[in-house]
Amino acid sequence: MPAVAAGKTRQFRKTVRRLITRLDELSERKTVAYSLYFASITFFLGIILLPSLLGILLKLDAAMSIVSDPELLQRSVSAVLSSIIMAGLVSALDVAAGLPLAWIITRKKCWWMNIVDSLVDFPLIVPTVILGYSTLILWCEETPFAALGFQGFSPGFLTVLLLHFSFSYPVVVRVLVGKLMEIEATYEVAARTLGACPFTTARTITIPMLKSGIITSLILSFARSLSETGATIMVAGSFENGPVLIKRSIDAGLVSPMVFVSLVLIVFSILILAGLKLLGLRVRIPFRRAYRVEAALSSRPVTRVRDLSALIIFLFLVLLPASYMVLARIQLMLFSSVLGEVFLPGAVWSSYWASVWNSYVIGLLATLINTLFSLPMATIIVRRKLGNWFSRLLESLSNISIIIPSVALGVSLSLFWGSTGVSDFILVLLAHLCITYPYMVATMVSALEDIPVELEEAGRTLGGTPFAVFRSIVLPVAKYSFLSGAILTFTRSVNETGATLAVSKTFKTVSVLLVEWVKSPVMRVEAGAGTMILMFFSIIILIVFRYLYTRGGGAVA
Amino acid sequence: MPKVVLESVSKRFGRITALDNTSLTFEEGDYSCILGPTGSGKTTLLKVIAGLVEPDSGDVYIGGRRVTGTPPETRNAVYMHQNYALFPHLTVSQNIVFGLTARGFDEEEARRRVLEALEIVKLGKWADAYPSELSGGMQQRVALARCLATGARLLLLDEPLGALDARLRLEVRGELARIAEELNLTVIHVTHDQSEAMSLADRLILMRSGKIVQTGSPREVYFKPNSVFSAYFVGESVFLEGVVNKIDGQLVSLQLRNGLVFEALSNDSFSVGELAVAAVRCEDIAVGEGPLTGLLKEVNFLGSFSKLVFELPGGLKIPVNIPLSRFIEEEFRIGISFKLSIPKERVYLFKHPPMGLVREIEAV
Repeated sequence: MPAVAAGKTRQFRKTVRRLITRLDELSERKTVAYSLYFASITFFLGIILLPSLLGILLKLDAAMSIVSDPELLQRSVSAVLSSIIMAGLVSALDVAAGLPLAWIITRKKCWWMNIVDSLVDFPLIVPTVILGYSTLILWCEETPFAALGFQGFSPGFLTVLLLHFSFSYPVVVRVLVGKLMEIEATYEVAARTLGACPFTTARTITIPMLKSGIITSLILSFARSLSETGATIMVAGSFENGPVLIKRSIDAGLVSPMVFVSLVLIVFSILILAGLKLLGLRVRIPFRRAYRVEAALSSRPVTRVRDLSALIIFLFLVLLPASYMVLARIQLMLFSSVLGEVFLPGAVWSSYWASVWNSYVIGLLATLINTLFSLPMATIIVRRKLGNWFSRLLESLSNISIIIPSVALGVSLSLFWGSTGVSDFILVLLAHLCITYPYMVATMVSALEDIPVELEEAGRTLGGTPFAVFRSIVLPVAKYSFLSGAILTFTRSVNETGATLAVSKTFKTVSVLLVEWVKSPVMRVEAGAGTMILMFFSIIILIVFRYLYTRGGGAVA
Repeated sequence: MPKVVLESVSKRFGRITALDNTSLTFEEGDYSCILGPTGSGKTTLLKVIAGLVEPDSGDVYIGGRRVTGTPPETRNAVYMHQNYALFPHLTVSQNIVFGLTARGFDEEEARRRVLEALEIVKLGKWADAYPSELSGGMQQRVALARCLATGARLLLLDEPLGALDARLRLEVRGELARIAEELNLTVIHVTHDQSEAMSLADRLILMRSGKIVQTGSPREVYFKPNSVFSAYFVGESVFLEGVVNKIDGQLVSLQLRNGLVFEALSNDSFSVGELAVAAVRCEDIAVGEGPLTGLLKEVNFLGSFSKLVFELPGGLKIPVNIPLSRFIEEEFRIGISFKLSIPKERVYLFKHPPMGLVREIEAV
């Protein structure tokens, strides 16, 4: 028997090797490479870009009709303004509060910094809508600070601000930590030995070098704040920004504000983001002199206060909201039988497990498909395969779907695909493809940019075909970055709610189910338990992510 | 077999012309050095041969086969990067094996070739080390071994010694010459270091702004520079601008701005009143006798030779290199006047460059 098995393995290996050789040969043909590029661009245009926009564009006449309704027009305009003000405020606060934390994480060497570093990612694994509910009960309905005489806020501008801050903060810190690690300490050492105090060094050396990272974080948090719908509506109260207006008017059977607001938001954000990208790099911080006050700002008491306040902000405005959903319910959970019922057959929990299964299937499929199609795309973008200008255009276009309000994206997709009669499962998958695509492309682009082109050139002139060079050089060097990109995509898909709700009536992912539970007064304990279980799984994924991330950092350096 | 021919190859990057209608032939077994300042198109030329850059027009032939447009892996021409491009995730031997597997050698043959290549570069003990564990010189040798193991007979080296310190550079230079000779390789070596090029090359190709300025053996280029730029970039010369004031057969006399007149032998035709530039090698100027008088302004002791700077009447400064054997420390004191002569058969006379002398030698 073993001999037969061994024979089979050998047979299998032979087949694999033959397949690889075949692929190697195929990759030598230019036509193969170009058909790959063509396929990935077709996928991008046909599955990602066009459906996201066309559903909106098809209803362009509805957007025009809004002009004849001055009341609705005024409401839409003020919603757009609110969106932009909110996004601007959130991204500025994110950078202001995130930079000190990123600074301590990278520049202070002590054991508990690793824990803080890991905890920063925590809000990423909580479905955003749950974060919204969590924010609502933390700051408004069941505030734990009641004992201190705090009565809670009423939902509105401030709660939306707090919510947006907590879900965009981790992304900003993650980007800044990554960039700060890349900046070698030697520059700071040089500046210090040349006589600059730490504050002056930071202002004149490190922060200017960090500029691209700051711009990236601003763009990411801005876009995220602009498009988030599900959670925002939970804490919005009387506040109304673009996505909230869209959701409310769709619920009232009105499409025109969606088309109008989405279009205006897309145009505005493209302008703002392009402006940030172009102008941001030109802004120089003048270095005229070292101010005396900077030495005082570098003194130990001041830095202590700065570090402490960065940690407090992170703890109370990010970590607490992210975990409060579970914390607030933990007592109820322990004193009820809910936790015991989780694995027992029963309508409630079997629907929960089914939805978890749905989420993970969708997440895996979205990650897989996006990986396949964004890799050639990233190659086109990074290696300028189709010319400088076109590659840049593709790169900017690939980001559009993160700007579109997620509800609008969902509606656009269901308008586009709805007439084709595809199932809800496919619709949800398509929506998740659109939402996660920009993240996947961005990670792949940055991973490929880190690989010196010389390695590929050396591989080619040594006789390696394009595919051979890819599988034995590019892939091993970039594998950790690719994997962490895949996990990011997966997590984002599992936590997505807004667009999923908009496209599907019957197919439920776990985030959608949890939202239903949260809204129902009789399911409060179950909602807490369900969130806790989901978070438990996500923490495991997060640990894997962290491990790969650090391994990746080590392997590249 | 690896004779390389370029036929009117041009390549532009945006507004920059990297190669301007370049035609060249590299004979089999020759060690050719492409010499030129930064941005002269040397690397582009190499990459066009390797297939890493497609020319806008023109053709490339390797071993008589037209290879324009074919992918790099089919050209059997190995390109070595300035920073070696060793694969960081592979060990030394895995790095070398890469090219062999890619070319379809079986495992046994590959192993034999790896050992052989490591033997050639004397790194047998380091087969299982990772590139990051090696010194710069060792990395350079691994990169070379990686190229040699493939059995490619055409080696394209892009500043192969650029990242090494001065001592190591001399050592590896000798090594490179030995290996190329032993294996009868055709090598095209790009550098901006003239002493490297002079010592290694069978044939020197001088480039500037995407154009070939001069080709020939190092001796030819040194002793018969065909242009001001050639005289400037190979060897060390002093340039004197003046007006031709008398022609007697091959003997041309040049009057400098300070009124000084001196003579040069030239095969080119000049006419009286024409602007011209004379280039004189710093070591060809004789000190102690002659029609010129120079005031010693600077003495730089450089070991095997010394550089003295004399000021002629009118403020013209000329550097003169004197070998150690003729350098007497007590004699050469700053502030003393010396007689100088410029032998007329060692003066290179050129037409005055239309853009001016400074633009001609500094512009890239």
